[in-house]
Amino acid sequence: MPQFAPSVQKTAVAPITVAPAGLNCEAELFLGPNDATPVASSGLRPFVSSGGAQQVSFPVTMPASPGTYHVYIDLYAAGYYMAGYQATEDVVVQTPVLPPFTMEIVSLTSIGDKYSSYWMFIANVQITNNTGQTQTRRIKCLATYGEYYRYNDPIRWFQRTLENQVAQSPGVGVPWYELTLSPSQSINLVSPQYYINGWRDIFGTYEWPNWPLGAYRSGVPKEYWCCITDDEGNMGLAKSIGTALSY
Amino acid sequence: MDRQMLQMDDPVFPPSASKTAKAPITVMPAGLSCQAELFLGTSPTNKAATSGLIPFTSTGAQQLISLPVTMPAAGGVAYHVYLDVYAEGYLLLAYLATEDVIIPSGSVGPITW
Repeated sequence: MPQFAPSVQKTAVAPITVAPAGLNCEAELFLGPNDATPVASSGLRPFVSSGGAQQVSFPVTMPASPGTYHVYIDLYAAGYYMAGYQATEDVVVQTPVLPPFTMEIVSLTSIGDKYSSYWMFIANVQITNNTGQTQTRRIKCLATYGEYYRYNDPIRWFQRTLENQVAQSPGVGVPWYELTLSPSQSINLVSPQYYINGWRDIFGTYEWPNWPLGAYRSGVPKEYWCCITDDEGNMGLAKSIGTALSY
Repeated sequence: MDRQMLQMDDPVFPPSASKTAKAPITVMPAGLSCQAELFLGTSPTNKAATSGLIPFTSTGAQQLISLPVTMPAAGGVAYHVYLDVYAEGYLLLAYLATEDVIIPSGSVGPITW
């Protein structure tokens, strides 16, 4: 039974045969609890019959509400309703599942003059345990900067860095910050002040690494990025603080 | 009797649909007991659907005769359309429409997402 997330666009393909050839035809695929209550539809898809099987595509945006929906196809030839079909398998629109932990950078706050030699900022991070059990995770924040022309893919940099971090843990290289959250607990963490040569570990609990790759070129605009990860490879959305000239 | 060609429009109908054809028929003189039959088939001797004999009395002028037909259930076929007119039991006119009636057929195979 096909299972899809709510509101995603999917395309169904069905072989349709209409004889004789040369007739203006239309077909509509729709989902619903019954054939009188369509909740998602491809609309009428036109084609000209060839007398043989034709692959007809039906793009459909899945319903927003989770549930099980029957799949129907109505077939028209020369403007006349020919037949209605119901697929032998229903479509299941799944209930969205939250990841066990969600990690979000709520804000990045610039401190001081971003045109100075070091651009300092702090990250406000929200960590949420979406499960019904107490969970312990180890997290860290990664930050980087780069030149426009060379470091235009900070996400890839973060992923590569995270792989290194996970491979080194525990106890080797930069330590992780261990965090225990009770069921459904959500907390906010404020990072230490960051500047371009690394995190200042003012809490003495964890370190926020900064390993920018490549050569630093003065006078070239840099883009500053931050993201949060856990040691299971889950990564929150990376966030850009912006760009600045570094000298 | 050679069959004559007869003009006709709208040749596509769904299977088993009930339709009524109307044909202007002129039989002279007036007062004759007449019948008309419209039928669909792949040949004059192979009737797939028919109106049956529809009786009327000639007026000597043109009469619009209604000929109800239930379309064949078998689709995917182009059927010839025939019209026979009888007067006092004798076959007077035999027509073949210039266009066939098309009964489409359709089928839908398995859906792939």
